[in-house]
Amino acid sequence: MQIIPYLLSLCAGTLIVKKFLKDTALPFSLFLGLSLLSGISISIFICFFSFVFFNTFNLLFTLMSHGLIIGLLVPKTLKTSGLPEKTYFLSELVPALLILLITGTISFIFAKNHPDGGWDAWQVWNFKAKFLLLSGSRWKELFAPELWRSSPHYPLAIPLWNVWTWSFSKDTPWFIPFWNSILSCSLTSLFIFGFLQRKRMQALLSWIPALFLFTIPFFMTLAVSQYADIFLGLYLLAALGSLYLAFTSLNVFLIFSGIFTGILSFIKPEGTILAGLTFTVAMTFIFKNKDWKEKAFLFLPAALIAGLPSILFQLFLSPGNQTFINGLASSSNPSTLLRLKIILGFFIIEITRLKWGFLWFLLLAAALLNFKKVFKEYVFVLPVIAYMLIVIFYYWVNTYFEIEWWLAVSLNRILMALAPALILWISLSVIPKKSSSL
Amino acid sequence: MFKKIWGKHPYILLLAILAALIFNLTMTVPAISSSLKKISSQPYVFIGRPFIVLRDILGNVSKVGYVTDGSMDDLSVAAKFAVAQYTLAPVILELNETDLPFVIYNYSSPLKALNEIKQEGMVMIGATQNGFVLASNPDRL
Repeated sequence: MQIIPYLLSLCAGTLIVKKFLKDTALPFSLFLGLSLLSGISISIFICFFSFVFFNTFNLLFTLMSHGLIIGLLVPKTLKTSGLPEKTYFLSELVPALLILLITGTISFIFAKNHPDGGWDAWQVWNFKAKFLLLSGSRWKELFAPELWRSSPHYPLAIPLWNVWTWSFSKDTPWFIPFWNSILSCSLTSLFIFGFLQRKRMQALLSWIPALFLFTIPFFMTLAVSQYADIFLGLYLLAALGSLYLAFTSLNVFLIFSGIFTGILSFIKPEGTILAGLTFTVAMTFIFKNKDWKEKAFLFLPAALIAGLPSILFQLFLSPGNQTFINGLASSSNPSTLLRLKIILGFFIIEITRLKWGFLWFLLLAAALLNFKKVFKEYVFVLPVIAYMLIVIFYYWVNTYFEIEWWLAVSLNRILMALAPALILWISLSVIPKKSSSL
Repeated sequence: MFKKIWGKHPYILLLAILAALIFNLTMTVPAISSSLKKISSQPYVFIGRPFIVLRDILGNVSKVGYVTDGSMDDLSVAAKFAVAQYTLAPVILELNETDLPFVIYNYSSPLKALNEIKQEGMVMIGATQNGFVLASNPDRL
C-alpha cells in the first residue's frame, strides 16, 4: 500500500513528460528523472491545496486530483509512443538503471547509519510533516511563535512530500522519509547523467560527475540526513539544467524549468532566493530572443502555477523570520568589518577542507582551465555567482547569531546544495561530445 | 598560462579527478564497511521510543508544558527536547510552561523531578525509562 503514492506521482509525472516532450529524443536517465521530479512536484502542489481547500490533509482530494491529472493526460499520450528514438532511448536504459542501483545502494548504506535522520530532521522537516498529517484542522499552529526552534518561516514542500508518501501508512513510519532521502540522492545523480547524455557528452566520462558526490562520505552523510538541502540541490540542478537545454536545444524544456523553479521557491528560504534568481535569468534570456512570446508562454505559466504555493505561503502563512537582526541598523549587534572578514575567511577554509574530497579544488581547476567555455554558460554563471554574493551579504547583515557558530552549522549545507548544479555546469563545459575526441 | 597547460596536457584534469576519486574511495570504503558492521550488529530502535508511552497517555491533548533543569544551550538537553517534540507531535511542547493540564519534567534526576512536582502541587501520572516524568495539573484539568 505504501508504494501507491509513489506510483501515482510517477504516473502523473511520466504523463506530463510524455505530453510535452512527445517529439523529443530523451535518454532514459533524463526521461526517468524528469518524470519522477515532475510527479513529486505535482504531488506537493496538490497536497498544499488540500490544506488550503479543506483546512486539513484530505486523502480523497489528493487521490482524486492525481486521478484527474492522470485521466486527462492518458488519452492524449496514448496516441503517441513517447519514445521517438527508440534505439537511443534503450541504449540509455542500462546505464540509468545501473546508476540507480549504485547510488541507491551507497545512499542506503549511509542512510542506515542514521535511520531517523539528523537533528534538523526531527526538529524541523519530519516534525512539520508529522504535524501537518496528524494535527487535522490545527495545522496552522505549526506557525506559532513557541515553535520558533522548528523554523516556522520555512516553506513546506518537503514536509508535504513526506505527508503524501506517509498517507497510506499506519501512523508515520520512519522508513518513508528514509527512502525519500535515498530517492533524492539517486535522482540527483540521474539528472546529472541525463543532462550530459542529452547533450551527447561522452558516456564514459559522464559517469564521473554523476557518481563523484557518492564517493564523498561527508556529502553522503548530509544528503541522507533527511534535511531539505539535498532536495534544494536537486531542484536547482533540474531547474538550471532544463533551462540550459531550453536555450541550447528545445523551447519545451522551459515548461520543466518553470515547474522546478516554482517548487524550488517552496523548499527553503535559500530556495526562494535561488528560484528568484533562476526566474530573473530565464526571463532576461527569454526577452532577448526573437521568439520571446513563445518562450514566455512556456516558462511563465509553469513557473507561476508551480510557484503559487510558495507565493500563498509567504503572503498568508509564514510568520516571518524570527531570527533576524538587521546589523546595518542595529547599534547593539552591528555588521562589522571583522564579521565580513570572518565570513570570507571561513568560506576559503571550508572549501579547502579534506572532508569535501577535493570537490571544490577540481571544480575550480576545471573552471580555470576552461575559463571561456565555463563562463559563457550564463544560465549557470549568473544565478550561482549572484546567490553566493547574496549569501555572503546575508551572513554579514543578519547579526542575530554569533557568526562563527552560524557559519559552522550552515555553510556546509549551502555549499552542498550548490554542488550538483555546479558539477553539471562545469561538466557541460569540460566533457567532450561524443563526436569529438578528448 | 592555464590554456597552455590545458592544451599540452588534455588529460591533466582527468588524472586529477582520478587521483581525487582514489583518495575519496579510501575514505568511503571504510565508511561503508563500518556502516555495514553497525547495521548488522545493531537492530534499529526508533530514537523517540522512550516517549511513546507518554504519547499514548496524552491522547488528544494539544499542548503540554515541558520543564527542564538543564540549559537549552546544552546540546544534549536541546536534543532531548527536539526528540520529545517530534515523537509527541502533533502535541506542542511549551518550554518552561507549567500552567497547562499536563507537564513533562526532564530533570537531571527523577528524584529532583518528583520533588518539583510535589512542590508545584501536581500529580505524577507516567514516566519514561530514560527519566522523563509526566505530571498532571489538577487545577487545570
